[in-house]
Amino acid sequence: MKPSKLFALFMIGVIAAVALFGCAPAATQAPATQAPATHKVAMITSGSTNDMGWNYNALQGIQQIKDKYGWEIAYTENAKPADQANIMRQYAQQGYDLIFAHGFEYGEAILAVNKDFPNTMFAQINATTEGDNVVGTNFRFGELGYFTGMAAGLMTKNNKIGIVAAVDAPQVTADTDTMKTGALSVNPNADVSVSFVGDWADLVKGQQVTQAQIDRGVDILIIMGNDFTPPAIELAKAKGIKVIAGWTIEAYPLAPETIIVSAIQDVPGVYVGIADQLAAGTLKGNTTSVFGFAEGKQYLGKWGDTVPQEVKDKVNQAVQDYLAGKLDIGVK
Amino acid sequence: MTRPPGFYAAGRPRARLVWAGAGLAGALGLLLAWQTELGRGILTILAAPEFVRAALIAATPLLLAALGGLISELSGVLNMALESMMLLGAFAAYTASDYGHTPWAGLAAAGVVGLLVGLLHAYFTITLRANQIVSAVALNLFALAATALGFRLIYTRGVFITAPGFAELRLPVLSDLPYLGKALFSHNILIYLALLLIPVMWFILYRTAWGLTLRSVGEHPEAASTVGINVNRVRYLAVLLSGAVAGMSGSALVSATNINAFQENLSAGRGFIAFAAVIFGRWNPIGVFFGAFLFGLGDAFQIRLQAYGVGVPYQLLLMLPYVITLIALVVFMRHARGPAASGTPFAEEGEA
Amino acid sequence: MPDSVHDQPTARARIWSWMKQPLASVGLPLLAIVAAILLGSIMMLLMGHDPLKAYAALGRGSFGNLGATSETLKSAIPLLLCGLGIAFSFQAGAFNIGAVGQMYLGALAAVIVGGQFAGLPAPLHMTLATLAALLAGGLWALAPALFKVYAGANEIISTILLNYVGIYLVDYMVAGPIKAGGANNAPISWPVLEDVMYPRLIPRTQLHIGLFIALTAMVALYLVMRYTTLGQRVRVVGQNPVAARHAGIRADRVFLLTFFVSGSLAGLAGASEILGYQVRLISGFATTTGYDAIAVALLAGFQPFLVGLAALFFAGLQTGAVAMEAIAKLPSQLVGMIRVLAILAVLAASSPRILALVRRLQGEEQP
Repeated sequence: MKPSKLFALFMIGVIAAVALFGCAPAATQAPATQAPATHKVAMITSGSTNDMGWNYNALQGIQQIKDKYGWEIAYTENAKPADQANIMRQYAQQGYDLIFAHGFEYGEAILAVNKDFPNTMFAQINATTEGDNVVGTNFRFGELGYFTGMAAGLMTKNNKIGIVAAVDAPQVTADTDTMKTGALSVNPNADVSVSFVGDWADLVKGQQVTQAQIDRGVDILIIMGNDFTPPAIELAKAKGIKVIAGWTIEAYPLAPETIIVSAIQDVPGVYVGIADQLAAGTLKGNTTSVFGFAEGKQYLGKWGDTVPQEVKDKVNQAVQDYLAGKLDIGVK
Repeated sequence: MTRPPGFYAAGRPRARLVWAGAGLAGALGLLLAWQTELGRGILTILAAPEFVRAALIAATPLLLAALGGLISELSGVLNMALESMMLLGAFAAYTASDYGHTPWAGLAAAGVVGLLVGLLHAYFTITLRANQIVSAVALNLFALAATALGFRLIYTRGVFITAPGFAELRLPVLSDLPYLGKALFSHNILIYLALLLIPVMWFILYRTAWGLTLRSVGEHPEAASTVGINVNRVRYLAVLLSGAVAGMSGSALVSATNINAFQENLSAGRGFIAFAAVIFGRWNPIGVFFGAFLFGLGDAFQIRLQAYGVGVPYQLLLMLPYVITLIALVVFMRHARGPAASGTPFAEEGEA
Repeated sequence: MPDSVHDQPTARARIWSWMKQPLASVGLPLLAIVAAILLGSIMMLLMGHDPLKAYAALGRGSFGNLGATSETLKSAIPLLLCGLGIAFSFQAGAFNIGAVGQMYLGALAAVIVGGQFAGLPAPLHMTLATLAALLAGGLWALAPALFKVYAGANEIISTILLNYVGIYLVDYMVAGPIKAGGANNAPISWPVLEDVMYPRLIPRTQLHIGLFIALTAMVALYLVMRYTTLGQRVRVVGQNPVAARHAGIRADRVFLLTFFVSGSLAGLAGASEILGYQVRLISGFATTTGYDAIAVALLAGFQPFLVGLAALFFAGLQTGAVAMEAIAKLPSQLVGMIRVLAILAVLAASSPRILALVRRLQGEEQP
């Protein structure tokens, strides 16, 4: 027998065996007929959940839901675009009735499956959505940028501020834009420059970009990434440069002396908020909720040890003024 | 890759003209550039010692991996598994420096792990005679999965741990030199070691009997075999050594770049760039260095260009290192030729 | 090496020689698979997961029912198309590692043509979008081939480098020139018009007629390689360029042609992803397909029909992996490991040395 034929036979055998094995225990899943009191929650995300950021927050979100309500949870991380719809279909078929799609990249995949599962609610984070069983959530992008920009403008000694951002999605640039206006509002001489890493996770590139900003002579760095944020903070610490970190984790414990403040989007809070609505029976499709300072889902974290009281006061006052409607920061 | 030189027609006499033209255009460009703000910005970037410094840092992991790849490829075994060696090496380096409390433990672990990957590659390609590219593709997949799993098992999510890194070693006297001191002589010790490896490898490859044996095995395995050289043993050794050196590139990725941390898919395709640098460097340690360094220069340049606020979308800037390397390849690399027997397994007389 | 073939023909030996043929041809590869499954099971047990449940999910998620099977077939389409292209070029000794970039360019062309020119008749529009992708992939591949022929630039390096250029080009395009805008304003391209999308083959699945395009390409490539002088020329150039020159074959032309065809097929793969089901182009829409396809092509020994099988195998692992995570709740890192073990097992089982051993165990007297 020729090797090629043998190989063919072998592969056919493997695939047939797998198919048989797969068919045998074909337990027919009853589609969502459980008691209404409990729910099953699934989450799908494109990155790794140990990224110290965006994807880790999604995991925390469903874990907090489990802690609060005791619902069954499941998640898939590192999902490829080609598998998105299939993954959500798998969860929906198993009776998961709340499926979180963690990012703007899931829009088409949700549209491909949502009509087949009218009893399942799809919640897409960072997206405006349509559909009877689809809800979207957005943060009020730009708020965090303004107040962190203010803090940076007040803290800088040589007026050079560097921003290290991941990619130029509008969800990011809304904040980098208001950072500039925020910094200029308190320091007209501030020179703010933005560098994009081109990736959320690449530690090495993140470090190179951070180093380039340091070489430019900045004394304040604003770092808004996932995986590359903690090493970048370490690097800044070694060079004696102050850091504002965002947008996901509380960075104060990493470097209390280096951190000025963390800008935090409370992703787990958004998750729990949606679960609350589901539990209360008020979760309706065709809606997109926006979360920001007013809802307590965006806020400034713990102030660093070296930040003067007047800086804290000034920024906190601005936040109060903004919430009271007395300060226009250019965010709708 | 097994084609003789000059197989495809190319205009060789034009080369001198190209050089002269490039020189002239360069001089004119410099003059013009100084007249514009952007041009002055670019020239400021290029003139700063931090630029060369950053390029060297970016080039070091590529250099080590490419030097590793070189050894293997000279012996006639394509090593596209550099990516896996770098990634597994990086994971080993991070974990071992963390648990061993010294970056040297990390370097050693990276070397050993690289060696083991080399052993696998050698077993697949030499003993089992599997296709060398398939073996590499499989190993790369394996490394990606294994490091992700290992990282998840060993480290808790949401907790960031910095592993100890190599200290910056300021060379006495030299580091006080005006430009060069900062650009070349105040680096992480691993970078000096990597640079030192270039002459060492050159000497081994071109001035020792073993180097000659190695190259003859890659060039004419049948001839080498008839004079009593055990071709497959030489290749095994070469691939093992290749793995050890390429594994250490993982240590460089973790500590020479100052991240001292790990993440899934940390190498992110840098092993493929190293693989390209081997060919770019015409299978020669010095050429390999220039290949890696050119890429580092392009990388450092585009990042600085962004930081200085050029109004070009960053995605296009990110292309720069690849485009620069490609242009250099097309303009200056005429008919580079690798070891003749590269890519083909060798069967001893009487074997199937 | 066991050498029991010429033993005295005792009864026992006769039974052995009767048995060892199936034993060898099925046994050794089976051994590799069993080893992979065992190793995977041990890992699962160590991490507190039920291997039976996990493997059942793998089977169910890949070929367990109509839905799963069509999902697997859908995933096999780009692997098959890219794999065919790679197989074709490698056979001519043209090492095209650039399927990733060529696929990205194909997808880009498909979404540009497919998302514009509203009002064209649907079948024409669909064809045009597909052809644009084919052309884009082919031209993107032609560049490194030209660099090779006219400047001697090694095609492995230039295709690897061009992969990155293609990826960043797509990143740029979806964030700027072809961005959808609208309420989300995210870096996602405009959608392909609804009637330009490939028709679905089975409702409630994403399987689309791209499958037929891929299968047609597979058969066509088989016929070309087997029955045409072009196929013969490609093989001669790949195996012995010197002999090819003596035979009057213009190796550089063959080189350019194979690269173009190879890139076109990868471009088609990009088109089938976008026009088939993804609708919009996003950054990183198919990061690994082009590299996986290299393994697919090489595993299949460049034989078109075997490329189809190998693509199916890879696709089955991909969809099975989804089910292992979603149904059996395995972490994606562990699933990745199990997937790789399966690939390594198949690699080992199909290595020349093992195949030679199998042949020898079957007995030399067998033709």
